[in-house]
Amino acid sequence: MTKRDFADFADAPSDGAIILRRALIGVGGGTVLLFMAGMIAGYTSGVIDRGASDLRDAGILGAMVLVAGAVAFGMWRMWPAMNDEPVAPRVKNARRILIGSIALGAPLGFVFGVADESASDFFSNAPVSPILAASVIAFWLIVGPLVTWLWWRQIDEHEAGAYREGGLVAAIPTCSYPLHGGWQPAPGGCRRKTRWWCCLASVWCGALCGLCDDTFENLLYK
Amino acid sequence: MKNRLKVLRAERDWSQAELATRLDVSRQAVNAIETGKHDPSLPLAFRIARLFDMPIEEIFHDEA
Repeated sequence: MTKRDFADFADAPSDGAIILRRALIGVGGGTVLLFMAGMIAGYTSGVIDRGASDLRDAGILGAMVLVAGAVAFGMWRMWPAMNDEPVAPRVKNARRILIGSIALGAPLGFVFGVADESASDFFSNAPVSPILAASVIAFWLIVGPLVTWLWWRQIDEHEAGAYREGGLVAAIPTCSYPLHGGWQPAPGGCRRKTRWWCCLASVWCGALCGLCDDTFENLLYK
Repeated sequence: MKNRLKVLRAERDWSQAELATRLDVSRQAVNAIETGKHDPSLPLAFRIARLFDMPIEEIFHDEA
């Protein structure tokens, strides 16, 4: 790849413009996708509650999934590249693992949500089925650490340093699932879980802010 | 720890992204090293030295 000269920059959007466009597409498209996910989940729950589904339900659900897929495809197509700058192989691999985890985790979360017959929301103290609790624990304790380890091997030392604390705290919410599975009494599960998640979110936000700080400085990196 | 990474990169007319690709790290890592926010590990320091064909002590300087 050759280095750009000033004539190229007349046509190319600045890094700031690209980040702004990415933010708009991410926030706008992400909101629509969340709305569609909520509609699909709500309609699916309704169909399950009724106990019988017909061709009309399948058609409506199929149409919703198609719309969500079209929005996701549109976001992917419109997502602007960052001035064709080269990316190191390990950075590419780390991104693939991250995107793959999200692509796999979101549908799995949806399936687990639909499979929860108690219809409890996240902050309720209602028990969940032992199978669901065991599955969530298995994902947190086996699949999660395995994927994290694979991802950890790919990221560079600077990024690893920024994520170190967040990665350690990430396993903590697992503690609440034996309570929900009925194997331990639940002492105020809602408040406890809220505290864990606030703690987890703060650590991850801190790590991300550290990385973003560098990223925004990079707008003037030349 | 101070370093001459930015100067050496500029002499070769490389962007941070190009240098990052040659070192197999992220652009943020190169930026953090250049601005002194991150001290590279010994293996990365050796990779940098090999890339610029210079001894490590000519690239990195102890501030003390």
